[in-house]
Amino acid sequence: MFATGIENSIPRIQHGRIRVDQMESCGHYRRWREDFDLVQDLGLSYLRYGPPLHTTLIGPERYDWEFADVTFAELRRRNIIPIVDLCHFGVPDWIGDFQNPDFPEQFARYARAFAERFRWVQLYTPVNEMFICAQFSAKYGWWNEQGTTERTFVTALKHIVRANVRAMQEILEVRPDAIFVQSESSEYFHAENPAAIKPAEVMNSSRFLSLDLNYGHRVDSEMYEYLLDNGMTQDEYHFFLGNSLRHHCILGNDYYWTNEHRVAADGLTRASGEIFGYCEITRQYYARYRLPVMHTETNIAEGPSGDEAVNWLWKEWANVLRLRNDGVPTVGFTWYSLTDQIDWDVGLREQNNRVHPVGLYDLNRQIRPVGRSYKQLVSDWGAVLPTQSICLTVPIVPPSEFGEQAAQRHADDARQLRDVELATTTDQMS
Amino acid sequence: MTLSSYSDVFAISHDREHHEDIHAGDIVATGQNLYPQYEVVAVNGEKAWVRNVHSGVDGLALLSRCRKVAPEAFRHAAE
Repeated sequence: MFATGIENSIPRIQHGRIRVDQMESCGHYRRWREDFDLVQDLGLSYLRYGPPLHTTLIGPERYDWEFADVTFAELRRRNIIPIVDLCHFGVPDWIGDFQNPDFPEQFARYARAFAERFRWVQLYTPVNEMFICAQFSAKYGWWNEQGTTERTFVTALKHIVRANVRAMQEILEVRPDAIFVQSESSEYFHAENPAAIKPAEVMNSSRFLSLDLNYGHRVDSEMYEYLLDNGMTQDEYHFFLGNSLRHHCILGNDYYWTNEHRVAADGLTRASGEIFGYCEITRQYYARYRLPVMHTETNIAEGPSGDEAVNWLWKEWANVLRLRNDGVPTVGFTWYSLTDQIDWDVGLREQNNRVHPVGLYDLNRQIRPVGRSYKQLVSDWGAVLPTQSICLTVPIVPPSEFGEQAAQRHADDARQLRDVELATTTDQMS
Repeated sequence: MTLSSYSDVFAISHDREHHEDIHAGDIVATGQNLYPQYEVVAVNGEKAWVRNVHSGVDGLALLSRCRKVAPEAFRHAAE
């Protein structure tokens, strides 16, 4: 699966006074047809894409599907397979922020409503980058609730991951052969000196928190104490252990040059740049979860040389190949995003209207060198089996085949498996 | 031949392929896209010392890749 994405972050900043909307600032609402043209021109069949949550989920079980209806109809007509991103760093005004305990259920109902309306959609990322979402919103004080304590962080994290799990459950009720592609930031913390080893170890445990909870993997013992000390109850923790849907998931992970950090003895961190790289860090995540892997986000800004992004693309692709050749089932790669973005150079914390030149196309929809390179890469490598075996292909039903007999049989089989799964799960919806 | 970049692998030429005189003070891009944009701080031989107009970060660019940004381009930028 070669993919790109339409950047659709919607955090609120400045204590709720400003709503960031990347689809607005990058021109997608006006140019969505043209954007879909560009996706196809690159030779891509997969697109990370989602309706704007804050204007689609307009109240409790109230939805405005106007934009989603036209855009998803067009995706289906073009046979572009969307990996539907339902929540990207923000919630509607009426929900408030990620501290709201009602968010998981409201979001789960929304996910179900979406799945019922667009039954042909099979691939989902219910909540994008859960760990980053909780960290930037509730620990760094950048977005949404702008919390800065361990308790606000744990509260956001448990609500976000629960929302993701509940959304997966609801979507599976509608589409039992749905596949969930997580898109989680992959991180590593390097100790600067021996005194920094302990804080670095703690951070290297905490980086797994969102996926541990999502996949029902027992957290490290220090993390268990940390979660319970900061507001998670035993029942809440056991919900995650008892409702694992990991076997419906692809371990999608994101990697940027900012994902590795140096840790000082006092616990302060700073960016280290790329040291291990995508391959080594993903190997660590794979060793923990043993799920098929997809590189779901990467990019780098074009600089004065003009080929910085081209070289980064090639480096990331080489990492993916290394991983695959080492036997890790690697099913996809994504350059994120289709176009340049706005204000990501400051993590969306300020509204400067500054272009972040990381796209395959610029905001005038003129292709960048990295876009030309990606097109070539997709053409060259598209036919090469990603997992090195025809027995390890992802069972995807393209939009054009939805409803056909073979697809229906596939869905029926999946429903039977899901029924068995539900019957043998001890703790449902508790 | 030494491959200095994967641009060579992908056969991407970044050169502007037409003549332009680039001087200190000019606003340029180093490819065909509008952004990023740089102010030329100095020119020496085949290289230009450039400063990103947004971030203030300095870098060296090949002069042959620099294109003056037309004033009308500013109006369409980041619309």
